[in-house]
Amino acid sequence: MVIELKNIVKRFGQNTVVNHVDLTIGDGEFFTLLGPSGCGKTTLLRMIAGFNDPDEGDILFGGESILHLPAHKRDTGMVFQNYALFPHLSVEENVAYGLRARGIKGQEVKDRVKEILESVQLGDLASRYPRQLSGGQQQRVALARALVIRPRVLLCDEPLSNLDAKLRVSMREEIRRIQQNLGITTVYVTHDQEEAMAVSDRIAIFYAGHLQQVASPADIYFTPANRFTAEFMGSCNILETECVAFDAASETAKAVSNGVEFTFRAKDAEVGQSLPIMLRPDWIELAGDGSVNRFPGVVRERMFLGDSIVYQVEALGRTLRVDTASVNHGRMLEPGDAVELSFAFESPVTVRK
Amino acid sequence: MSRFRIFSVWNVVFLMAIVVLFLLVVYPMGSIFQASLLSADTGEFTWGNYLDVFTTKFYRRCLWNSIFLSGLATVFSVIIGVPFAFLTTRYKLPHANILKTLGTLPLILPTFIGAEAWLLLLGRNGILTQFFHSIGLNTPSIYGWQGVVLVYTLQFFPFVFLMVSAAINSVDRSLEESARNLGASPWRVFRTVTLPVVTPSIASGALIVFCMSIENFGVPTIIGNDYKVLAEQAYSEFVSEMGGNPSMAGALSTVLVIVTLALTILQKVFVERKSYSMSALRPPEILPLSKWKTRFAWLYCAGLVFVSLAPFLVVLVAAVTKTNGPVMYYGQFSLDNLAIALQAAPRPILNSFFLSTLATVIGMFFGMAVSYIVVRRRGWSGYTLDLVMMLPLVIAGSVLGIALAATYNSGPVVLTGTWVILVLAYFVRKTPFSVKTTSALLHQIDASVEEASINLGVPPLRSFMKVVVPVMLPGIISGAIIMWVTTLAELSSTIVLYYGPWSTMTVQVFQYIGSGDFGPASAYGAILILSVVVPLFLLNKFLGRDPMQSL
Repeated sequence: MVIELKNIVKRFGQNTVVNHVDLTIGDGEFFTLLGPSGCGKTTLLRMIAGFNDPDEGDILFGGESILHLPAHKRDTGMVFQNYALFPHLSVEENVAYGLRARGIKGQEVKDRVKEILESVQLGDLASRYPRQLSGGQQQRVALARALVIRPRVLLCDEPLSNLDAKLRVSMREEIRRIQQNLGITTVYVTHDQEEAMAVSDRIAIFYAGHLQQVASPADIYFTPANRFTAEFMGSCNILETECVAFDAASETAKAVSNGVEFTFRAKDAEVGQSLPIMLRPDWIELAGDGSVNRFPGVVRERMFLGDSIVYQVEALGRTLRVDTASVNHGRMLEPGDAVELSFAFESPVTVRK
Repeated sequence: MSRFRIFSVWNVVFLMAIVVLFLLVVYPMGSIFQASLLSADTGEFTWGNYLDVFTTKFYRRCLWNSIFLSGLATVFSVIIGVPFAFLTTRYKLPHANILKTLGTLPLILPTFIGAEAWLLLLGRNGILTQFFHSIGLNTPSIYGWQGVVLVYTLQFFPFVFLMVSAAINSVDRSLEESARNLGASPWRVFRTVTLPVVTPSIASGALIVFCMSIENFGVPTIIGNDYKVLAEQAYSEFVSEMGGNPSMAGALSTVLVIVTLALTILQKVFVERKSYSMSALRPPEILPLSKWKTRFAWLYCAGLVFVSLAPFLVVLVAAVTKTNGPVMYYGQFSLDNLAIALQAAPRPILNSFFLSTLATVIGMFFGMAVSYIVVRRRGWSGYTLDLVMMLPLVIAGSVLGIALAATYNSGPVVLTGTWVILVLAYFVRKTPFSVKTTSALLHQIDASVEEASINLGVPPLRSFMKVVVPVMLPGIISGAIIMWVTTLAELSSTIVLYYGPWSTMTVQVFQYIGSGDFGPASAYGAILILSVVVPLFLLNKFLGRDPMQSL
């Protein structure tokens, strides 16, 4: 089911929480709305489900507007942040609820409930009540309940935010797997960028009601459209530089930051103007032997994370975060050590705004 | 699209609720306020009636008496209710649960029967009066303000107890633990953490006691003697055949409403802002006391429960005792009194049950709908409805009765002098209880549960019935039982609105006391007490809930 959001605007009083959003979500796509809390992503999801009405714009499922349909006729399966299980119904009855509402009766209900509960590994807990389940189990029931009705669209509103870190990782893998098996169009809301990258085909980044970028996880990570996206999606260093030379043919820019000249790839620059560039912490090399873009620094802090080591290095009149892979019992730098840093010609991303 | 939603089912329910409440509360109150601004003689606009309230010595006296009695009852209720709450909630006492349950019972027992009971004990022919007299002692008189304050205190202290006890339980243990961890002594913890957190609920409890006292009609009439209060005087002005004065009744009523309303607003502004509600994950520890302290604490709590409930036992005894007017022959068993109530004149009993049941059923459904809108619809519409719904809580029963009687006395709809108006008055006065118990539970159900149901394909109203109502059910039942028992015990609006064949048990008790016939009064009283206590007992036993705890 292709979902189209056309020029959606939603205001709550004076606040415009969703501001002229246009999106097309492909059939079978796992699409994530990502942004900090209060950015409008949940409101957008609730408009698709029919719990809020847009003030302007249109929502289409498979080319047909669904705005005239009330929430209970939209045939979407929604997984809520707090699961929203019916406390007075057993697991089985919770899952059967939507089937019964569709007039399905008898053996078919039983079969479909059984099947879906087994696929989320809850077959033996069918007669339990929600309060007797752990958070992860409740989450599975919520997912089963949304999927058993074979909805046109699966909507997930921060479904994993109430789980602990480990469970979150295994549940997101499971959601992704089930989604791939069913091939169901899924709109997923989260504020966790790692989770978004792990599960999504494409991600839409929201900030203050505006769409910032829509792209695959890798594209957003490697070529963020603007400063907000760069900073929100993973950690980054932003260097303020001033362009001193630009050759459009070879897409090569020369720019100066704190008295050091750098050469890097840039699509567009203007001599004499500021040219901020973004460098992911692992794009900077320590004690590197790169021939270009070398500059000195002093290690100020070190944090050992197991698979990687994070250094805070004072360089270019500011502090840069540099991530390095840890080597088995390899030597680590100490605070106070002087180092040479460098980054490759291809690495920097120019970020405006 | 949005236009289409305006006609959604909840909007219709909201509008209906507003219209009903407007017709039964706002409009009648408005019209007695209007009447209070007209001169009784010329029918012209005047502030004269209000001037009279504050300048005429008699009316000024009534106003002062009302405030004095209620104030004193409030102070005493706090003094005895707060320790009761702390002792039964925080400390290990034998049978603390029974003490707590019995401690809430006085709330639903009719106050005017409490007054009658104290007359049976300490009145002119009272059993204790005679006993002390026989050993040569004179007992202090129960008549006048001291008797009224005594009855109020013993019957209303549970409001303070319930509020404080709930607040104590809502303080997470970690709060006191962190205070201890920071080096505070137990006493310091109590003084600087526990007490401040609980204080707003003491104020809320006190406010309820004050409002209940000032609106009370039966107690001052029965044992106040010449000690007249506003609620009583407004009624007298209204019904008096000779020189009855609806403008004056209106002015007195308005003053009474303004006093309670002003206090309620003060409480909202100054106290609720300081209320620290939290959902306690771990309620505070229940502490053991030393042997002697336990005994002393238990004696206090049990003694208080006994003193507040024992008089009602006397009424039960009096119901089956041979009587001659106000003279009781204790020890001589007789069914004469019950025969009067059950055989000769059973109609008032049936009336009471019929009217209460009808009002409760209507109120139950209405309350369900209103609490849903109030809880789920933030914003002006929910707020307005809540405000209008709770308005009757600050209006004395006799005042509301007067307002309804005066409003529906003429015009297109005449209800005064029918049983319908009794049901409407009960419905308006008691539905706030249902709204409170129901919305308390509704607050615990996240809106998303209902959205999940809608999302799965069930239309809004059916979703409400299928997933919200089952969860609210305990609250609905508690609310219904509270409504039913308090309606059975309702005197103040009944006395204004009833007519001949539609007399109720409460009216019978009241009139028999007035004529000094304590036998039949006790018979009706006993039936009333049992009708009130038995459903609560059943609820407690089968649902495991004390409905009063949820208020």
